[in-house]
Amino acid sequence: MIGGTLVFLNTWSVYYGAHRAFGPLDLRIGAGGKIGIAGASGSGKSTLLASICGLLDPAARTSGAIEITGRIGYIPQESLNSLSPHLTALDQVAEIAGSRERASQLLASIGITTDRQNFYPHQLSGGERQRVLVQQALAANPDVLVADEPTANLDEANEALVLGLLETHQAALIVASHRETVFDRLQCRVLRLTPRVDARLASPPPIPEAAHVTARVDALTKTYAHRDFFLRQRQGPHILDGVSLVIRAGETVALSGPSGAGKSTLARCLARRERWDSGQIDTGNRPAQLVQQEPSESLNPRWTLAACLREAAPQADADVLERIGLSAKWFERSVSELSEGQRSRVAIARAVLAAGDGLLILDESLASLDASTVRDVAAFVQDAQQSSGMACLLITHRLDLAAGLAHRALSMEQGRLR
Amino acid sequence: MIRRLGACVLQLAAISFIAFYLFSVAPGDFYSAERLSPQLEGRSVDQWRAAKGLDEPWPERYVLWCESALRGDFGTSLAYGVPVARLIAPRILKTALVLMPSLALGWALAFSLAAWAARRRDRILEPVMSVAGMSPEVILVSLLLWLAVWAGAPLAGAWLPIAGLTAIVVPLVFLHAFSALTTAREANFVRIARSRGVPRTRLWTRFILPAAANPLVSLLGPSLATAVGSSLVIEAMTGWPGLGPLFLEAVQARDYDVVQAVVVILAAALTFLNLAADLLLYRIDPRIRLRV
Repeated sequence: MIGGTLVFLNTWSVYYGAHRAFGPLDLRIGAGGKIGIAGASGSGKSTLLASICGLLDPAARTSGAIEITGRIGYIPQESLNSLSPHLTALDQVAEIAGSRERASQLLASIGITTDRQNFYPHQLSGGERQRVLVQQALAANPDVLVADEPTANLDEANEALVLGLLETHQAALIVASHRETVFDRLQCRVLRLTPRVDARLASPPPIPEAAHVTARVDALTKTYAHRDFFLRQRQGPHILDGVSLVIRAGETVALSGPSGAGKSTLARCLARRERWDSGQIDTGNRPAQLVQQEPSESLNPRWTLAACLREAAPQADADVLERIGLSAKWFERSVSELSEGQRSRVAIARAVLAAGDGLLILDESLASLDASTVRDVAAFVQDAQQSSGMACLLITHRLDLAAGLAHRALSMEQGRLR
Repeated sequence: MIRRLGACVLQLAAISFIAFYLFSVAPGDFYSAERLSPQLEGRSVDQWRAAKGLDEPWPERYVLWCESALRGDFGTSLAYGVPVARLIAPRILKTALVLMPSLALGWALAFSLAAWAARRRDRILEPVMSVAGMSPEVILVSLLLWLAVWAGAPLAGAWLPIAGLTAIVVPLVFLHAFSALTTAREANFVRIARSRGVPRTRLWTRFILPAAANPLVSLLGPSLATAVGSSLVIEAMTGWPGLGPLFLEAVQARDYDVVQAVVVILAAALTFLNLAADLLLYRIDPRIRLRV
C-alpha cells in the first residue's frame, strides 16, 4: 500500500446482473484529499460511494481491486430509512458519539435545538434528518468522509452550514453531487462519471395575450384543528391565511418561501388532496396534477413504464421517453430497473400527460434532480405548455429554477402570499 | 382508546351471538339419543326439554343467556347437572397449566433459534420449520408419543401436552421472528449504523430488535389463538383433563351452556391479549405514538 493512501481503487467496477453501474475506475485519495463525484443521474454515483463504504447491495458483482485503510464515515442520501425510526435524533448521534452530552453539542452546532433533538426521525423535516446524518457520520471521527448528495434537500442557509462543516473537518472527503457549486465551495478535484452537460434552461415560452384562467384561488383559509384530551375542538395556527391567486393557461408561476409557510398545503388543496376551511378553488373540471418531493416514489415499482404512462394518457407511446431523455427501448421495462433520477423523469412526464390543458404543480420535485434531468424535464413541461396550454405552479427554494423557468415569482410567508 | 375498547365489547357480543346461533340451528339436541330409546315415550322427552327451557325459540334463549351471563351466571350443564362455572373453572386451570409454560417456552426457544439463525444468515432451519408448521397436531403428537415410548419416558403427566404445544408454537413464532430479524438486519439504517462502528450488542439491542418488534408483538394474539386451538386436540390426544376433552364431549352431547361458556371465555382471553398487544405496540413504536 502506498504510504498515506486512505482509499485506493484500481480498475474498480460494479455490475448489477449484466448491467455495469460504473467503471472501470482508478481513484486514490490520501489524507486531506478532496474529490467530487459528478455525473448524470443513473451514472453510478451512489453505487460507487456505497461500494467504497462496503454497503453495496449483496446482489451486486464487482471487479478490480479496492483497498481501504482508515475509518470511513458515510453520509447517505437522505431518506427516512437511513435513520432508525425507534431512536430520537439525540440517541441516533449518541450511539456513535459515545455520550449524550457530546451528541447534544454536535446537534446544537448545526442548528437542531434541544427540544427538537428529542424528536423521532418521522417528526423532523428532511433537512433536519440530513443534518442528523451528517453529524452522525462526523461523530465517529472518520478518516474519510463519503457524502452522497449531502445538500440535496437543504435550503441555502442549511446548505452553507453543512458545507462549512464538511470543509472544516480534517477528514479526507469524497462527495457526490449534481450541483457544481458544491464542488467549487469545497475546492474538490472533480471526477466525472459522465461528461459535463450544458444545463442552461430554455426561457419560458410566451403566454398568449388572451389566455383564459386555468386556476383561480379566492381567499383560501385553513387552520389545523385538533381535539384535546376532553375531545374539545381546538383551533391551531393559520396554515393558509386568505390566499388569492390566478394562474392563466400556458403560464408558469414560481412560489417560494421558508419551510412551514404553507406552500405544500396550498398545493395539496389545489390537487383536492386536502380540505380547506373557507374560500374557493376553481380549476375547471379537473383537479390539478401534483408531483411532490421524491417524485420517483410515486411510481409503482412493479409496473412497466408503458403501464405508468398509459394510466395517465391511454395514447402515450415510447416517443414520450425520447422526449425526456430516456431510450424508447425502455418502454416495456419495469420501473424498478430505473435509477432514482430516471424514475423522477418518468413520474413528472406522467403528471404532465395527465394534466393535459389543466394545472401541473411541481412541489420541490426538481430539487434533488441533477442538471441534465432538470433541463430535459423542463423542456418537456414547456413543450406541453405550448401545445396544450397547460399551466404550471412551480414550488421551489432554488432561485435559479424560479428565475429560469417562471413567468412571475411569488413568495409565501406564514400562510400569506406576497 | 375508548373506541378500541368498544370494538372489543362488540366483537365479544358478536362471537357469543354467532356461536349461539350456529349451535342452536345445528340439527339434534341434548335429548336426541333418548328419543331413539324404545323404553322412553316421546312425551316424557318433550317434558324434559320443556323443563330445561329447550323448547323456546333460540332468540329468546339467547336473550335469557345474555342476561344471566352478564350477571356472571353461565347456566347449568345438562350432562353433569352442576353450574357451568363450577364445572369449567378447574378445567381452565389445567389448560392454563399447559398453555402458559408451552407459550413461554415456545416463544423463548423460537426467538433464540431465530436470532441465532438470523445472525449466522443460516437458512437451514427455515424449511424444517415450514414443514413442522404445516403438520397437523395429530402428526406432531403421534411422533412425540412414538419418541416417548422409544425413550421409555412415562406417558402421563403434564410434560406430554406441554411438549406437544411447544412443538406447535415454535415453528409459528420462528418463521415470523426469523423473517422479521433478517429484514431488520438488512435495513438501511442498521447497515449504516454497523458501518459507523456501533458495537454488535448495541446494534442488536438498540437498532435491530426494536425494528423487528412490531410484527412479533402483533403475533402475540394469533400465537395464543393457535395454541388454544391446538390444545383442545392435544389434550384430548394425551388425556390431559383440561378444557379440550370437556369441550369436545360437550359439543358431541349438545351441552349448550358448557359450549357457549367455553367459546366466550376463550374469545374474551384472545380479545384481551390482542388489545394488550395493540397497547404495547403503541408504547414501543414512536411512529404510532407520536403522529405528526
